[in-house]
Amino acid sequence: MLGLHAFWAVAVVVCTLGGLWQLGVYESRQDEAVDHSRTEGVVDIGQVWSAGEAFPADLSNRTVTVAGRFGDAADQLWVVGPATDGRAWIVAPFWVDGSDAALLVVRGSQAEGGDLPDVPAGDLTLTVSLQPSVSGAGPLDENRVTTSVTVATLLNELPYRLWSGYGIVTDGSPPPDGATLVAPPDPDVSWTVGLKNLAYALQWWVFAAFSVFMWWRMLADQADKQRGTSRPVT
Amino acid sequence: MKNVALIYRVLAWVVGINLILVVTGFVGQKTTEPDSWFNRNDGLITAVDLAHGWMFMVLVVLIVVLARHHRWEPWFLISTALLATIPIVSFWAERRASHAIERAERGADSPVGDATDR
Repeated sequence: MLGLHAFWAVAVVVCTLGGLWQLGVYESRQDEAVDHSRTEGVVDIGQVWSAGEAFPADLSNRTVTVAGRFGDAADQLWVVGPATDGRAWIVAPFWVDGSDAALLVVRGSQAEGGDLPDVPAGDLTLTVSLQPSVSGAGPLDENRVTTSVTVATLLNELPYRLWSGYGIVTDGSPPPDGATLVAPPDPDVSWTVGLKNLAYALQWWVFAAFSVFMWWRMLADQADKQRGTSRPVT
Repeated sequence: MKNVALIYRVLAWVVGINLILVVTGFVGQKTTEPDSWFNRNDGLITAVDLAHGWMFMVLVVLIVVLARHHRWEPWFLISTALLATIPIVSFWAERRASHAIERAERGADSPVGDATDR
């Protein structure tokens, strides 16, 4: 009898863990797919896009390298808005080699705005995650703060031709003192990547639930039997 | 109940054959080159694997129905279900269970399986 209880207990535990294991495999498949699409074919920005061309939708979250140099430190600005998670983004224009326009790049974020930091001098190659311009921001206030990276608005505020999207720096230029790099949004990965592992997890848990049910049935049968056999005795 | 026993026999065979395909697919994928037939048809093999999982569940339900009807010993039920997960052995498990059912239906009223009282 003890053996049966032990069997059902082990069955429930094994099936539950089996499901968790497959769920873990599903999640790591998803993460792999995110990493893959983030690092897939990192090329120079000039190979996939050009200044003056509207932002191609499929470049969203695409990682590219950008060679060039920062514009004037005084032309930087702060963005505090829906996308910045309560922090202040430091956004700088970055002259892109081979074009006569600047790409706005998010150098990092800090708790709140303040004095504009220095920009690194000289030629740099940044790695950035490209993002489409967000509509709706008003003009810069007296502290050079706005609510989103809206290229159409910033064109009027900055003495540059601008690329029609922006980049979140992930490598190539350390964030200013006191700031941290901004994590770009995860690329969209279909939930069906690794779907079979999700299905396996489900199957394991159905077996776990079934084991619980069988165990319960066995206990209920025993209780019936005991009642039945004990009646004649009393 | 005769119908349940028949469905059980048929499904046990289907699951047993399917199980051999599952193992063949698994070994094939692990032991052959990435561009082999096995690895090019990953979707098909996944479908076979998933089908096995769900069919096995139905099989277990049938085994439980038969076990309750014929008042099998718990260990006879458990071993019948577990042996169905082992390739080739699953066919023997089906034979064993079907013989037990036939004996029971011929009138032997005693519980099937291990006679020791647990």
